[in-house]
Amino acid sequence: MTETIQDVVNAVSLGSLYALFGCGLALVLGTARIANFAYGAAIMVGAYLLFLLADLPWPVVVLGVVLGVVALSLAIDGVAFRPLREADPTTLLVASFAVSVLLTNLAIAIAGARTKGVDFGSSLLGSVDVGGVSIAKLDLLTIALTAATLLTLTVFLRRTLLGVQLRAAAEDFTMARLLGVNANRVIAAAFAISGVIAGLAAVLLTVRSGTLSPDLGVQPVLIAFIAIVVGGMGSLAGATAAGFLIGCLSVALEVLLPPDLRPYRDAFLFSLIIVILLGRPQGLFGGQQVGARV
Amino acid sequence: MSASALLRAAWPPIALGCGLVLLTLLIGASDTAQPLIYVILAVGLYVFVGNSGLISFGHVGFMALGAYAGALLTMPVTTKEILLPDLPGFLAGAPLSTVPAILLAAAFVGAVAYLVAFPLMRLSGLAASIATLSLLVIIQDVLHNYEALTGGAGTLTGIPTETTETTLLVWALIAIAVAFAYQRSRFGLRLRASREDEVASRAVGIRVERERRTAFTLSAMTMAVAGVLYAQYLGSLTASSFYLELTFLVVAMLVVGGQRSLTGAVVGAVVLSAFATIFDRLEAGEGFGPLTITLPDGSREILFGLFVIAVLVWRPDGITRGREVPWPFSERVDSALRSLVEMLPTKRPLGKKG
Repeated sequence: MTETIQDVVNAVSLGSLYALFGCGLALVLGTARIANFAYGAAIMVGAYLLFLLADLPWPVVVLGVVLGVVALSLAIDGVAFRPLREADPTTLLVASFAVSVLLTNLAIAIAGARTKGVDFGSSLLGSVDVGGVSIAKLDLLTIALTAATLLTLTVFLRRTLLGVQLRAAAEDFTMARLLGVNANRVIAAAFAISGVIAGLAAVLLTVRSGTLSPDLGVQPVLIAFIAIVVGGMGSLAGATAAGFLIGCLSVALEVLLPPDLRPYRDAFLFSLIIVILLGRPQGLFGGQQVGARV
Repeated sequence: MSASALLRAAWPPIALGCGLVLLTLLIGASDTAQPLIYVILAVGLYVFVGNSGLISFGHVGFMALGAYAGALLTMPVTTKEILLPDLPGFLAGAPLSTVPAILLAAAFVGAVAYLVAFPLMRLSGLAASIATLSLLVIIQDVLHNYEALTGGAGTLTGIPTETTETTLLVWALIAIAVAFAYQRSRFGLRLRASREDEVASRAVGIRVERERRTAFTLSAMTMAVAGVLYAQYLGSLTASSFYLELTFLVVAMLVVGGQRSLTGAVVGAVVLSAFATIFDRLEAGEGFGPLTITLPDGSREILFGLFVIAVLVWRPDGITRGREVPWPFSERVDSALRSLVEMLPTKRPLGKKG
């Protein structure tokens, strides 16, 4: 019983982290129509910023990481994507690969390719006793932080002018522009918020693993990509929920697979994803319309 | 069809082939191996992506399957006994020579691709891309863990290095010819129609899934050929080298060149691999004649990223803008050429030459 509860908490925690990944990528995809692969690189840069700042008091560190990643995301949008606003989605995707290659190798050139240990937030690595079950503090923090972030984001999207403009742009970008929404401003806002989320994700990810390497953003961005498609293109809530689901499935497979099949966990996970997509090509939470309307 | 019309109809592959041969002669064989493998990869990916308009991230997985199949088919029995003692019986037998190994590996990968295409090609747009990406992850995971067959995460060595630059050039030319023949065939044209307008093409009776399946299989087979050649050129294989990095590189080649034309695939592969080769040399401290600058490590990739972004900002539709090599002769030269060809005695009795 105790073990089951721990597994469930573990699943919810990993699910929350993946939900953050999915949500940040979905924001940019929804408004700017960019499948932004550089999102993973932004998380990676956040982790390196954390490494640089690790000796300062923790609120300064977290703030520094988040602001740094926001600035980076805005710079990526301005330099790489703004000149390509009218381009084909594939072109944008490749441009974002290029940005990702560039940032990853910048990190290698500056900090080296080897994995480094980070001593930050080690006080979070213990566990607390909740009703006889010991639960990792970090899991609780991940769940709480994700819930708080998503709540803030929801309030922002529903209650502020910029938030409403963002949602309008996600719904129908051309129409929103015709009604006076400033395209570049809305897209920049989406990149900034996705930067905040990437920064928080970077902190959680680094504390969780205690190490950092130049390729640490790859797994998160892969998960996020899958989450936005499984969740239903353009649906922010869908991507978040799908990210959560993928995290839970991943832990479930880890627990439930027989030991000799456990190394193949990812193969099973991704087969499941193909099966989900076959059943619902428009995504779990997407609308009914799949093909183009004539 | 007259000779001149035939030349004109098949001009793009002929021009590309001549260009590749010339380039190989100019820069010397030793530097061309990698670019030629990239040309085959980009052309292989193009057969599916360029004609269908769907992006696939799974094709490097097919290359990996081809590479491992080729390795197992060509390795000497004694090497296999030492490195892969748990190999199933039918693979442990005597090795094949290069060409049968390539054909067999391509047939195997083609069969796999044909089967997975049944479910995958029902998807469209980004869902199809993510499904192919999932396929890449699955293949990678299996190669990493199926130690009896692949040697696991380590490097599989002892593959006979029988591939020369000339072999690579010949296969690159074959790949270009096959890709062009496909895109001009009824199958290719149907698929390209569905790329332009899926709804309209369905309305005129094109079975989009079936056409996509054909292209997917053909392009996976081309990737497998590249995989076998790669294995035989290097002599060793590591599962992790067939993952995201290579996938992005090949997709970038296609998009930088112009994903909607065969010319784009070849040009993109040549341009980006030339860029990589030049900066490899600079990083290694070897110069070009009077030009010797030594660059720090990692700068090649940084400049590579900047270069790709710059090209895309300059030409969002790729260098070729999705066009094929144009027929270079003006109408007057063209008609002069045609009359010249027509003056030649063409209708000879069969079997009697001259």
